[in-house]
Amino acid sequence: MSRTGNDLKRVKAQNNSGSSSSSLPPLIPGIDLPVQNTNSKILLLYGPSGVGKTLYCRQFLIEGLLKGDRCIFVSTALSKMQFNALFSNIDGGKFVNLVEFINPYEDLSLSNYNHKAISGRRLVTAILSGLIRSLKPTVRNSRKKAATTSTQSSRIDSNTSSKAVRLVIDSLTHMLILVRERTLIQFVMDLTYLLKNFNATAILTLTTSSMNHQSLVSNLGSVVDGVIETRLKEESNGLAIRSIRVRHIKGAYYEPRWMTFRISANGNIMFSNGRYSSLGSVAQLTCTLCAKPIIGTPLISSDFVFDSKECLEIYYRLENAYGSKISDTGLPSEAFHASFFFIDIVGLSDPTLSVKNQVQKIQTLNELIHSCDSYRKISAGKRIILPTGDGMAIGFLSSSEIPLELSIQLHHKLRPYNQDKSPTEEIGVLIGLASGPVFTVADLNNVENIWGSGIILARRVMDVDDNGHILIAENLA
Amino acid sequence: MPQCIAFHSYKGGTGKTTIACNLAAMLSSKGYNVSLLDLDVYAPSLHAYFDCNPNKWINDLLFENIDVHDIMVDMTPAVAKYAANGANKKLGKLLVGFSNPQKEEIYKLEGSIKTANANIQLLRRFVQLREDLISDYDSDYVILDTSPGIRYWSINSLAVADVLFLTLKYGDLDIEGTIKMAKDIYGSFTKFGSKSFLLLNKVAGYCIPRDNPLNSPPAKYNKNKNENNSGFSHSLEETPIELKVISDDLNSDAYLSDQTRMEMISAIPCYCDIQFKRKEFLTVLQYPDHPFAKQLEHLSMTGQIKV
Repeated sequence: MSRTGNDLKRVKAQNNSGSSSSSLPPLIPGIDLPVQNTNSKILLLYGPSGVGKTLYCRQFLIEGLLKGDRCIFVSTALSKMQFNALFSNIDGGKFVNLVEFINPYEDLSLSNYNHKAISGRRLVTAILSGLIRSLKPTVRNSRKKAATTSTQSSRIDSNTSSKAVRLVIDSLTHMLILVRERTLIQFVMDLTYLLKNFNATAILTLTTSSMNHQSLVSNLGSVVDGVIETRLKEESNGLAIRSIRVRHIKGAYYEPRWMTFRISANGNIMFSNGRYSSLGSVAQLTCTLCAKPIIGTPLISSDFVFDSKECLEIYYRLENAYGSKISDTGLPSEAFHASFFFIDIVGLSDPTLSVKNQVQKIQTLNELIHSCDSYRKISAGKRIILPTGDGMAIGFLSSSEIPLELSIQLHHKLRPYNQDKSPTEEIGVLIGLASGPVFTVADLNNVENIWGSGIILARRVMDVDDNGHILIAENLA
Repeated sequence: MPQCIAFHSYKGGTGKTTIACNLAAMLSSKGYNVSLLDLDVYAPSLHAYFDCNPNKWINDLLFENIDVHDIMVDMTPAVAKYAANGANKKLGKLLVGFSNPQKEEIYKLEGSIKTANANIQLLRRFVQLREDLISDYDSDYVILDTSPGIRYWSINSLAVADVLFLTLKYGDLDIEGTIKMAKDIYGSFTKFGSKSFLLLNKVAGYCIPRDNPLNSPPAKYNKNKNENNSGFSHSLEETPIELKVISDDLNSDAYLSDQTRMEMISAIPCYCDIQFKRKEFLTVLQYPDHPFAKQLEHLSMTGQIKV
């Protein structure tokens, strides 16, 4: 059996086993709404800036296109070029031209610039006018259909009118700058009236940043059909956790429950429960290990996606076996935690110092560090050494106490070494200690290198240090 | 569920290839489809074992992205020739993928380990090879004969396997190295779903020169032995006996298991008739009553590798 055969079998098995929860794709990405068959649905999507509301809406529209829905994206913030960029990395950019894009400012700019022209009411009117224009063929077609004309054009039109409509207005926040809350609510009510004759689903986004917005959410929530909440939570390890939940749906019982999601490098939304919707195969999500396009539900672990449990396990076996050398295999690596010892020789770049003296100091420092028990007791696989020219950074993967032990031992060794040396021969050092996440990258010479907040902080701490001191960042102390 | 089994060791000469080939043939004779891969890429030997010079090698698949069908050679006739199955029992297929012994090819494989871009291509084709053997050939078992030690391709081979047999001989160097290697890398595999076992091979006690009383095993291990004129305690014609491990330290098994945190799945005695035979070839099929065949029979029946 071919690989494709296996994939199809797996997808079928998932469908049969109910892992996709139902044969009907979700109305909105990742969430089963108990309102699949009602006509118009207007949903408010709110949450803090940066949580991924726009990308969530993008996924909502792409899934609509895959189902054959008409999709309209209204934005007061994105230019046409930015809109194109938002959709260009999906399936070779073919989706860009399938989504109708409306920016009301383009209508407003048709008239001569007049600051009065960009009033809140004009903006609201421009949005609604744009929508009416966009939906107009469908409106006309609906009328024709109602009149049961039998012309060829009406047959074509009736096909168009039967299409479901997906609408995104991103975002209400921009409108709030120009209109009062009451006008905004009026706008949403007008939109409800406009869409009521269509099989339409609309998502209106709202960026909330304070408790003051709670009353706005509450008021808007009373005129829309459902409210979806998003949140952005920062973990102690510095990673942002994104979550989404349906707060309520009009006329249906819904239990609010948070569901975490991630945004992949290409902007796709991936849910922690494995729900991925029909976008998977089209968005060319590929397995981290075997690089094959993922058909069906991907397995998500940390920052990576896999097409099977075997690939996931093999990846983690390799990652564990190779440790920080995983980048040698060409596989991406996760960020890992390391404690850093960053050291710099004081005055090594002094032009009055002879080259021989400079080399001597570097060699001596290397030898002294190498002679420290705390350095030698850590196996090579558990430490990373990055020469910096006039010093080095050593990352320890095993214990956060090792950098401090090494610093103290090194000072104990430097003191007797410096005793009988002339001022130019003395070795003074700046030592900065810090810990944090880093990740491995291969440089141009394919030499393993690391980068991340852990090593950056150690460098900065060292930079403010004095000769003879050991400066420790708060996160390590 | 298909099983991918890797035979690995710290040092060479532990008997990985002999055990891997014989186990593959035995499983095939029992009706299982088996794919055997020579992944001892730095010192390949399966081509010599099966006396085969294939058109395409595993190396070609890794570099040229050719099809898996181009490299796998059907060795089922060899199994059929020796298997004493009887007319009614269906044989499974035994397919073997060979590694190219040409020095240029070995250098090329080593030399390619330079850039991450090149490596990831090779690694992905290697992962795909395992998957194709299971899906395209419907293999019940994929058996990997790996390179000894901690090397790039031995780690990759171990990572794709479900069951790992770490073979070793009794000897200080082998034992110490094995313990260290087990501590260093085996945890990485078992932590993510692999099962690993110690497989003690070439254990003293089977071949005992008749006239050397110093080499006689303790009575409790020797009660069933019948010596013959060959100078060895057994010959192929004799009825096999159940042998126990003889070692200097009777607690060695427990010590090894404790140190490596691996279960000792089997201890196969050293059979001089196999060890010093000019060409051992599928002993388990040629001499099904040989104690070595019984040992592998026991290994193949263990629940740990049963599909």
